[in-house]
Amino acid sequence: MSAAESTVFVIDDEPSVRKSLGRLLKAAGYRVEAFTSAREFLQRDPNVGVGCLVLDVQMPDLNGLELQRALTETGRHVPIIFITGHGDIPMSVRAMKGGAIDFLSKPFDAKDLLEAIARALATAQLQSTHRAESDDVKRLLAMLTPREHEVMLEVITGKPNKQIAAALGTSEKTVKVHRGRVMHKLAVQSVADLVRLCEKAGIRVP
Amino acid sequence: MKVTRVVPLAGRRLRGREWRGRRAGIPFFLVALCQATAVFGDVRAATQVEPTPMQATQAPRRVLVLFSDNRLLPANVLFDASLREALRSHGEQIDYYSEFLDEVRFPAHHQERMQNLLLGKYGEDPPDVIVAFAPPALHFCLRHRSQLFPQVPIVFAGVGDDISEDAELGHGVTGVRSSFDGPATLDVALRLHPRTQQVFVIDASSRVDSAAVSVWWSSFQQSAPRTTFRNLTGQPLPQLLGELSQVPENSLVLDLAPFGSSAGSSLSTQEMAEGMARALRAPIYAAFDPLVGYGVVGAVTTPMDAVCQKTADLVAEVLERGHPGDLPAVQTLAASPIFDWRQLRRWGSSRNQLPPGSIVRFEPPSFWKQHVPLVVTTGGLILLQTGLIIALVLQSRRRQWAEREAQRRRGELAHMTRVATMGELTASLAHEINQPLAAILSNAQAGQRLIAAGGIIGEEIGEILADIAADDRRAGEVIRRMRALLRKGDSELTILDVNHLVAEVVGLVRGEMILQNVSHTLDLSSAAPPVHGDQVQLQQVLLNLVVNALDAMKEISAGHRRLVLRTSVPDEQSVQVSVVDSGVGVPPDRVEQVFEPFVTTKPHGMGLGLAICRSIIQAHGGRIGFTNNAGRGTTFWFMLPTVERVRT
Repeated sequence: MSAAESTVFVIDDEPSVRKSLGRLLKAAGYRVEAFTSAREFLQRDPNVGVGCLVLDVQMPDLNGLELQRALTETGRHVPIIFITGHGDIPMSVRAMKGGAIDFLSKPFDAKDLLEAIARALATAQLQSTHRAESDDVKRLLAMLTPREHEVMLEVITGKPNKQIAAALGTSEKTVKVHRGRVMHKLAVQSVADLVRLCEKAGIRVP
Repeated sequence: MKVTRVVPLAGRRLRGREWRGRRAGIPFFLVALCQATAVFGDVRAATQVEPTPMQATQAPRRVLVLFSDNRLLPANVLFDASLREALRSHGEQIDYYSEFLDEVRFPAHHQERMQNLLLGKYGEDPPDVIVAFAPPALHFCLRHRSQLFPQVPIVFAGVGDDISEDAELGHGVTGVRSSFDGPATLDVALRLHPRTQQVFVIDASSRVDSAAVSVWWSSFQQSAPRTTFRNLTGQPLPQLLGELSQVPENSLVLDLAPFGSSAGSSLSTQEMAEGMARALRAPIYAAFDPLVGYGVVGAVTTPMDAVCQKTADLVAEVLERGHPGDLPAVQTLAASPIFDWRQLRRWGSSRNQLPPGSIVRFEPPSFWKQHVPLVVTTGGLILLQTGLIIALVLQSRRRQWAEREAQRRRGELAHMTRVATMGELTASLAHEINQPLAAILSNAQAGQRLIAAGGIIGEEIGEILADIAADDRRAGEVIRRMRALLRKGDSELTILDVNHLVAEVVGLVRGEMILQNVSHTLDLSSAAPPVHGDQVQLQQVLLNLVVNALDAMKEISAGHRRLVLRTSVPDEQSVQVSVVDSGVGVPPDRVEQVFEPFVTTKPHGMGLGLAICRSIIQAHGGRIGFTNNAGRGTTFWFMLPTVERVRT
């Protein structure tokens, strides 16, 4: 993963902080986009690629923690490093529970910030990979008929065909045909592979 | 001839009553002040005039006083009055008769006529005692003793060395011998006028009573050997006055003529003395008391009042004994130096040059003696006033001290609440300081990285350093504001711009507003005139109002927390600063007591903030208040007089 492909989004209402961080991160080789408010960031194209937020907690209008919640609620998973002029413990707990990478008090050392950014970007990279895989699986799963999807959900529970047939109210033979088609369409050899695939797609396996 | 019935009187008591009667018109406090004086006055008057009980059964005693000269001679007038006064003090009821021989102006055979006159007049009812005043009268009595009431005791007075101490005066004669000390008078005169070169002597050697004068004459030369003496005795008056008018400086005149005059003149000695004093350029000294007061500087002689008193004592005693064969002995009275204060001044002599025991007459009474009640009253009033002034000054001092103390306490309390307010703002202040610190650190470390990478160019490092410097200054400003408010010091009055005041306070609470999600607007009037005040205290007021406003908006949802700081000019003489919030407003039940101490709506507040704000604004001559907004929230404002108004 190259730093050049990653973007650090700096959101701080304080111009001098914005400017200095921009300088620092550029010197560290990152692409930097700076925003004066959370709302300004939200108005941006949601497709951020691989990137992370360096987000000030205390800002007028919409503050850092509120932005974090808004992003989570809209499924935009961007790793966040919080920075704060004056943080307290409840604030940092709330941030970390919301999935923040780090919570830095101003003034912070560049080393700490860059380390946190590195971790955040790694996370972003990983999330990006996962997202790509699950997209593939979802595409495969979309090829199944509703009946095949139903049978698959029963199969991954480890039930034998006879029980599946009883549960779906059909014959054991029909179940067997559907199961063969599922295994074929999804290009898996065993139930274990099928279970792993489902997990990647975010399907809950009991 | 005069007959005067002298009856002891208690008349002087009236004076006390008159005085008290007059008092009615005087303001009461004056009366109170004078009360003591008046009472003492009464007591004195009463003790003086209380008569000794007299023998009511006895008939009035008859006293005949025989004067040598005419009735108007001041010595006679003086003796007459003083003797009567002295007799009166003895408490006897006396019929008082006077006769005047006037022997200077009438020929010698007139004495026979006088004797017959007296016999005719008093023969049927002779006097109980005869008083002979001055040597001629005494000699007259002695000469005519056998015809003229030989059984009546004689008391003489005004007689000096003419009658020697052991002189044989005969049956029923006693009296008072005075001293007329010519040599002592000259001594005193020379001592007071040490530059005297010439002494002009007028004596009365032609007179019968001047036997002793010739003895003096020889002693003069001995006591003042370097002084020239000239004898002017026996010259007619015009010639005498002519001589005297040419008396050179550094001379003095010694007038030794006791009762008589220069030859051929019918003028009395007093008239002569007065005339001489006017004509003279030199001081005159005499040997006889009555002359003092008629241009004579002084005399060494027996004082007339002492003579009169002693004579009266003798008369009283003689009357009491009632028998001419059993009379008290002749008394001799010593001489005292007697001076006329006015003449002493005329000749430039002072009181301390006088011999001890001197009697100084005609000295104007001191202001104190002249106006005792006035002086006492005025003095009392001045004392009272002084006391009052001192009391007022002390009271004023105490009040000033109390005011200073109150001011100090107010200052301390204000400081305490300032510290408490700043304590509430620590998060905000940390935020405000940490922002520039973070920027500084990031800038510095960015610079390091750029340098390490070797890719840094001069322009960029310059920008970085400029930003660092700016941020450092910003952090410093926050600390300065903070320290200014935490400072504990005396009130310091300066000329202030209210807009600057607002900016300073915003610099302190900006972080707090961000932390509390409050958006703020500044609506500052560019026309706001300067005010006169203590920057720290006024900032404290504004800070307090802003912090209250922020507190009032905590209950409001984040999006609606709006604060407006406004400066305006309501009229030409005042400036108003308003803090408009969108908070919950003042609860209606607290509207009346918002500025009272210990009234608070905050869970941890002491309720002192607004009370202190009010005392600060009042101390600045301003007003503080609040109004509920038409929409939501409250506007707290304070109004200060402009510098112009304070000056006028």
